[in-house]
Amino acid sequence: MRDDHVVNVARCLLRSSTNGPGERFVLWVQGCPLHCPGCWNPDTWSPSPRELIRVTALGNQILEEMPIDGVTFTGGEPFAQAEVLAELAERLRTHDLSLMAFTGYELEELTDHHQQRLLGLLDIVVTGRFIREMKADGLLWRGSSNQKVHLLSDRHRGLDMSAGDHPIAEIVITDIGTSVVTGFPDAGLLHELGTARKSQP
Amino acid sequence: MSAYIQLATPMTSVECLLDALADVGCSPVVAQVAGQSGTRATAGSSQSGATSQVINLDSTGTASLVWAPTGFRLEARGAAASKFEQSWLRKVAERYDFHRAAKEQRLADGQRLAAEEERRRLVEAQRHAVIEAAKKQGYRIEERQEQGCIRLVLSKRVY
Repeated sequence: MRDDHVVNVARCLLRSSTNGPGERFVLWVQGCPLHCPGCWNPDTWSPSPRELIRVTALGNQILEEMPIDGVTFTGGEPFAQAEVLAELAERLRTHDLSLMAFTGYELEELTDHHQQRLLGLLDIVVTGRFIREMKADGLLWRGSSNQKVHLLSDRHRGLDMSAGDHPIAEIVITDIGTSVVTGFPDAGLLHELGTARKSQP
Repeated sequence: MSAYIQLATPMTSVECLLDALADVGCSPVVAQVAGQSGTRATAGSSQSGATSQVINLDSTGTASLVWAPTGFRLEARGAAASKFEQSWLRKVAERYDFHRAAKEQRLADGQRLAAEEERRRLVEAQRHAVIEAAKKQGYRIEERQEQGCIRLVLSKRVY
């Protein structure tokens, strides 16, 4: 049964507004063969099982977060698990959720049948390696200027990606005092947060 | 005649013991007996200092609970000995256990509340530090409360 397949998951964020348009469930998958120097999340490179979650269970977990606008696959390299993510995407599609992925591959590199199938289910894909020398702050949903945002469906045709104020980073502080930074925080903010953390009592 | 010596009871908290005695209808008087520096309280006891405590159970002074190194010992003479005996002491001990448990629960609640307050203080300090850092970097900040978490969405001009 196809639904018995498992996704190798690094972590999830139940809601985010900086990993794509609107309020989104974000899934960081585990495993990336690209190993871009300067990657935000080198802990997600290893393909070794981290948290294996069945497609059905993961789909249910995401749908429990409704109402949300969409789901974003990131990582790790989502297209390294294209087959299972396509299964998940098919399920989510039936609930009219916007689907987006961040990949280190270029579109023309995604030639595998499952990769094509996953691409066909996405509304937005952000492509391209992270290149440290081209790292730039202030790029919507991108870390380096070579990366590209592709609108793959009509769903977000009217999306405003023009210059202006956009949510680009968010910080979640839990009730037990742990905190998470996500999105595309600039170097200045990260520096300040590091300083801020050190000044904590 | 064989020996029958009442050793110390495991009742070590004066506060709980007085509550227990009140429950069984006693209005005891606590007296400090100075100069018995060898009778210190054990860990967990509410006794402190080098003096020993005597809890007089009646006005004649013929029945008392006297602090021994590991708890209070019942001492009763004459007619009082028939009133303040083992079954009476058992009732006191039961009430003592009740008050001791309640006291421990209060202490645990207090510790839990203190820990929660400390967490709240840390979360607030963290929130404040993050907001200050984001403001310094020119971010517009939107704060949301979700499922017990604070979510700070930071917006800035993109190109």
